[in-house]
Amino acid sequence: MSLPNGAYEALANALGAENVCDDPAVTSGYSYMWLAYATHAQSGRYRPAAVALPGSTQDVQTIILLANRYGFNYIPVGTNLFPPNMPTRPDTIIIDPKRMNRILEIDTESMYAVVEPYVTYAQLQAETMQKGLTLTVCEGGAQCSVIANNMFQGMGGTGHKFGYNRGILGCDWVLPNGELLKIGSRGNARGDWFWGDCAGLNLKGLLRGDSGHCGGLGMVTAMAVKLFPYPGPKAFPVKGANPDFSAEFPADRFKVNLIKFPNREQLIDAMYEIGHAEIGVAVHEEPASMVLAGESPSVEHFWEHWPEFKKKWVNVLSVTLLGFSSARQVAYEQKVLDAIVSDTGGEYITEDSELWSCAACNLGEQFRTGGSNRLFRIAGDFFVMGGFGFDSLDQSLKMSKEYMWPLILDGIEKGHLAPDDVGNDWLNSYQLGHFAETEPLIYFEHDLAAGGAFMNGYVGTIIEAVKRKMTSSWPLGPMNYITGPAMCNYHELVKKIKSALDPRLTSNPGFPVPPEPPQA
Amino acid sequence: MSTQAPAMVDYQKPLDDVPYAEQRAARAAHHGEVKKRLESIAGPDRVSDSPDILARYSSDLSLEQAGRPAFVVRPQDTARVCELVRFANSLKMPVIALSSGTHLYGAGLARLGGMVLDLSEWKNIHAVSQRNRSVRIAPGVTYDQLQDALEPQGLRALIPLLPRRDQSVLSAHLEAQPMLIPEFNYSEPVYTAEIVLASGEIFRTGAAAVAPPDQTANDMVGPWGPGLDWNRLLTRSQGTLGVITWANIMAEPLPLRQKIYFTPAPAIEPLLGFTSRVQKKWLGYECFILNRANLACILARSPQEIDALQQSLPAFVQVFCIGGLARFPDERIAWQEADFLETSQECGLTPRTVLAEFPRAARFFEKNLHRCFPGEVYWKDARRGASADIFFITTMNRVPLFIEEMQQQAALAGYNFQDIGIYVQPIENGRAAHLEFSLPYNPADERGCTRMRGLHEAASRALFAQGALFTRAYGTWTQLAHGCNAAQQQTARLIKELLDPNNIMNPGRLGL
Amino acid sequence: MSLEKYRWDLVNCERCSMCKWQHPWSVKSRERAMVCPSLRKYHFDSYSAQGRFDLARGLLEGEFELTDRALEVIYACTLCGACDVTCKFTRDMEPLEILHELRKLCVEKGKGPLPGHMPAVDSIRKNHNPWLQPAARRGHWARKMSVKDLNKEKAEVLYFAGCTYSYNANLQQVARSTLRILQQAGIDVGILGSNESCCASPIVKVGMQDLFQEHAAKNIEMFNGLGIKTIVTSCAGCYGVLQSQYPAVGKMNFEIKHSMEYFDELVQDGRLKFTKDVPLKVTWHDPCHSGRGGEPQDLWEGTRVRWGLSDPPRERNFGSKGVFDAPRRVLEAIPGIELVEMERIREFSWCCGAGGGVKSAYPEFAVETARERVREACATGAEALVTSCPWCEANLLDGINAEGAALEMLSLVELIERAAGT
Ligand SMILES: Cc1cc2nc3c(=O)[nH]c(=O)nc-3n(C[C@H](O)[C@H](O)[C@H](O)COP(=O)(O)OP(=O)(O)OC[C@H]3O[C@@H](n4cnc5c(N)ncnc54)[C@H](O)[C@@H]3O)c2cc1C
Ligand code: SF4
Ligand code: SF4
Repeated sequence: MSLPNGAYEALANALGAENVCDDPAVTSGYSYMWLAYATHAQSGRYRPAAVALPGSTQDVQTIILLANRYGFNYIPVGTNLFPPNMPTRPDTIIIDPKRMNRILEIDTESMYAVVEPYVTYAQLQAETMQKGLTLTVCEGGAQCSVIANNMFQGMGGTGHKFGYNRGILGCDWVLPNGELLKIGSRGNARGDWFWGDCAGLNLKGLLRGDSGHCGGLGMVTAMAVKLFPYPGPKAFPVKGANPDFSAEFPADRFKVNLIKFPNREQLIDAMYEIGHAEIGVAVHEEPASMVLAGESPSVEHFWEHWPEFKKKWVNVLSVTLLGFSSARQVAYEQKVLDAIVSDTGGEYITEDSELWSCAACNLGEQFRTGGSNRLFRIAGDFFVMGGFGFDSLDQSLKMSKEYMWPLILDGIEKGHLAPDDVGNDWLNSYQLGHFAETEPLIYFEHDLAAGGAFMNGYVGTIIEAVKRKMTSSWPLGPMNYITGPAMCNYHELVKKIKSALDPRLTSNPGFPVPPEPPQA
Repeated sequence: MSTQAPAMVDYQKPLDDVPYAEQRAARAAHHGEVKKRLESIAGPDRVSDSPDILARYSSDLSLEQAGRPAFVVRPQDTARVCELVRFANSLKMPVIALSSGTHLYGAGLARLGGMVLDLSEWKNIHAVSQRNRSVRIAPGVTYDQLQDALEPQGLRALIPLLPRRDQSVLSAHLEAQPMLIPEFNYSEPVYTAEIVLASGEIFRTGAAAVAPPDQTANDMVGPWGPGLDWNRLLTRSQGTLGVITWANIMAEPLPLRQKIYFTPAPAIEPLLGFTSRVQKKWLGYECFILNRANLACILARSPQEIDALQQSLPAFVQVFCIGGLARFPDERIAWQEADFLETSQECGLTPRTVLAEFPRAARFFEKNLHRCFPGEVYWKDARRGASADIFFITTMNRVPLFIEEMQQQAALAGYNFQDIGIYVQPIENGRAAHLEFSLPYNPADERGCTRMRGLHEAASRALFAQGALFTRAYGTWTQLAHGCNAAQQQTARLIKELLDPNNIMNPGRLGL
Repeated sequence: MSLEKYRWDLVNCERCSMCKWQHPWSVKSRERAMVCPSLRKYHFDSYSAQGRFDLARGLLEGEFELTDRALEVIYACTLCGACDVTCKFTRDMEPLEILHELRKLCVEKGKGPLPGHMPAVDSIRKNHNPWLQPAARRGHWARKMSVKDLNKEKAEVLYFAGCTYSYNANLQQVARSTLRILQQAGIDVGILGSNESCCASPIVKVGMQDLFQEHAAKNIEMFNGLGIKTIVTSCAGCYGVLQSQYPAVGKMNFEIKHSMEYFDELVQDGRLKFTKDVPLKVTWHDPCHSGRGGEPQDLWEGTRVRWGLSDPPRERNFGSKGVFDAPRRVLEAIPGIELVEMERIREFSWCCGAGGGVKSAYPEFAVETARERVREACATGAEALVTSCPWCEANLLDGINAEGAALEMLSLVELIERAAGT
């Protein structure tokens, strides 16, 4: 937790003393979060050496140049929810973009918005909805940074229609060598924002991959993101009071359907058919634990209702229809969905049923995630069993069944994981079902034993995936040494790119791939 | 034969000169050795250095400077491509891979010599998945061939505007040619691909990375990663990063029925506004705007007919197609049609199912919207024999500004603006547009070519200055683009050096 | 260390940042999405509930000492409780209690309260009010009124004026008006005059738990001895502390009402009638301590067991059952008044900036926070900003002046008086 001589002063001189701090009272605020204890010891030993608050792209460039000059590391963050943001080396600073919180532009014609790194989804969407536009909001919650999330996952409830990893347009990207690289149309004569692909070699391909570089390749200081038409009310139609909110969208344009299937295979068949018919904006299997957590105002409420609820909420598909053009669209799509449900053996959960009321926030959550962090309520900590990859819907189911759930059930039996043994996932259709991804959610206590068990399970699924010649996304940091050799040695290429762009390894050094394989 | 350049030249020491005859002999011997090695890898009948064949590969339909390769090799399979590339790498010999029969923009010209790998004979359609809406194709697969294979399965390929018959589907996708359907979810249609890197190693993108197609347990439709976004990096890389040997691409549901509307207008502005609105409502499939010069070239039955036909056509026409899919096709068409027509009313326009000025248009598009251009002479070549195209990405609302600029540039060059084809292809539901000017010229007229070169360059510069985004950076567009984004150029070079340290993959393209 | 009680919370905070913003569904603009004034001002995460959790955890684990900066982190917080509401939406934690605990820790370690707090603290010790005013003059605000003296007489209702309304010459009118309206409505009401003593809110807010206990216990004993049914106060600060902190000190055999609630009841049952038109576009500021802080707190003692379940099960206050509807109903009942809402209201209300000892220790921060609220009020197009808390009123007025805003600062009771024609 110390910077090389002269570095702190240089930072303070450049940014203003009030915008840098190395006092533990401040740095401790960046030292701790969920899951991190599983890889780091559970202590504040990993406080950053300092925290810097840049106010502009130039400030960010200066910080990065100083890091190169003095030899310290930095990690750029958004709202800082993501565990790899925890510094593992003592000479690391956090670049906190709190002062870079402007929406620079909303272009209604060409449907994009330009934001700085501390603009959250809720903020941006509140502004775009006023103009009849929306964007897909990540499940991490609408309180996450738009840029940070796009740099990492960028997938949300409405990905079936609005895509995954398709949202990034023009960007200003400060590379780890301090250069400002303008991505996409930012590099044209007018410095436009509207398009993400570069003229010449498409360097947008370096900006992120399947899981982003976790701050390992510099910092994006402004980003244009795609917007989509939204035929709903200008203000999010929230009703109720803390902790019970509901959202009431106009029924002729917004319709959520909950459909129960006898088994997951039939559910997947229905998802395929929905994709082929090109209907819907949000299509996913929703596990009981997630739905009940979403409705639970307390951990006590969750566990009181779980034993009964988990029997009732099994193999449920949620399909949201949206009338972009008119109510006619919803009417047509509903008719198509009815036929699909009938052909695939599904059964609607009716609006007057008890189960329906348990999913009251479903529609609102598709558009602006508010309750996803309630997943932490179940046991203290949560994650997705790793090793899942982006491929087809069939493939998602296969991965889930063949190697993820056996590992999860084992964890439950050993008492490490909370007893959600229903065997359903948060399984998502993206881009009209062109591809999919499945997330088996697991819950465990925030302690080292459970965390360690989780970590082993996560790595276990990755090993299983590649052993079975199935794709495995999201191997974070050192895990790339498991997947890399099995996947065309991509990790060697990524490592080379990292060392070319960041020769001193100052930008979140262990990411996207650490220079050396882990010891064990 | 030494492949290593001396580390440093000693300027003091005079070189021992070699007699000229010996030099020539050595050069020929070297050529012969290389050829022998290429033949031993690819087979004797698959390597050519005969002047007439090399000449065929030395120029294309662009105005770009010719470039003659030393060899043309037609390898049979990926293993041989790997070996050829490895060999080329050891010699630092350029490798230019080609998939299409016709080359348009100079990207396949061997500017620095070397070996052309012609993959246009690779016509295998490896696998079609109706369930996953995917088709895995070899580089030489052409559009009509692919549509014939897909249609029986209820699928269709995404297709640009009436492509040439020998247009490779794979290169259309890799070059990110604009497709006729602006649907956002079709807009990045490559799922996964296989690439032979400069090292001769095979790399596969996305969900294909984990095993070759014959061993994988995946469906190979996950486009991301591994690690970074290789698909994006490869797209429009013009062969500078490696040789693509197959791609798994999107195949979309084939409508059971379709209904085409033509909306004529005397100026482009109302059509642009209308198109934007329709696109924001997420209606229909194919949607684009053509001016009368383009329409005339497309619809005329013979080049002689073009001028007269052009006179009779409306200045601009939006072509819009609604499709009915397997479930309730008529109802799908009906609701979209109702919304489409309502929108047209709001815009004061009148779409018609028949283009009154030329009724045959309906049948033509009905038949050919998913197909290659059926005529003997390609429509762009019909007027003068060739066409110099200028295309780029912009936003819908700025299209008129670029048209005006083009008009001025044509006037300055004394070129008849009325002959210039204008094609506006909305992309991503109208978030942006591909704008394409086609400038017909006579390739046999040398002075005309020179004038056209001048106009093409001047117009490109002027349009660039107005904000034209030349994402497909051919020829001078590369310099324009790099001219105002130095970090892009530097970083691109870094990446290129990592993946291709000897710069053998289509060297010089993209400014690399 | 009493922070120990909250170890589970501290360890389980996942850094979701919900505590920094309104609930995402309630966000209406970029500008006014945040709820934590402290984070808005100081930018570093440490100046939010999340960061203060980390600080508390570090102190609990002995990872570092209480530095001067730590004192600022701990005290530059208005204890507005917005984080408590928003965190509890997702997690079963008690941010506000933890923020209080941190201050207690500072006091335990001899580092708190801050010098800026001391004049008020000393004055409460000496004069039973934080305003350095003699206790004997406390009842002067009502000296021209005829009202029952509960030191001598009995009444159903004690009107507890509180220190600020008692002493602040600009605000005394509020106390008088309130009393007058209650009397006119026929309520059997009295006051304690110079025997009224500070509710001790400023003491508990700066972490002086022992002194608070002592003070509160005395107050409770006195109140219990009065035989009253109800305490009515116009001060949100007094109301909040009586509701949420006093029950832990001792049993109270009376109920506590804010005057807003009382007025509302009077309007509903027809005892308070509005006869005059008050043509004014107004917006309502929910004071933290009568709003989200007005919801009583479960006095829970227990542990967290498997999966974080509380044992015994704890009832949680979500901040949405405070006094929110009453003032709105009253305003809407006044003819001519047009009530327009700000973006951050009810349980997500933006703090006026004065609470938690901030006005005395960090006056600039207090005014900046008020200015933010004033801008929010102006954005509604309102002509007047109405509330019912002397701290809010005074600080928001500073905000109005600093902004140079064309906005009138009003107390709810002033509008009632105008409308009732008294
Ligand atoms: C309950 C839960 C559910 C989740 N579900 C989803 C989901 O469905 N979809 C999804 O997309 N995500 C999901 N996530 C993950 C979450 O979205 C990410 O953690 C998200 O990015 C957090 O946003 P943030 O602002 O906190 O990002 P941060 O944690 O601050 O940053 C994320 C990463 O991006 C890097 N980064 C941040 N800013 C920049 C920048 N300006 N330039 C370069 N790099 C930068 C950081 O170094 C970091 O590695 C979920 C998380 C939780 C807790
Ligand atoms: S809302 Fe609660 S759990 Fe989330 S960061 Fe804030 S204090 Fe921690
Ligand atoms: S009490 Fe108010 S100022 Fe303090 S941390 Fe919570 S929200 Fe911020």
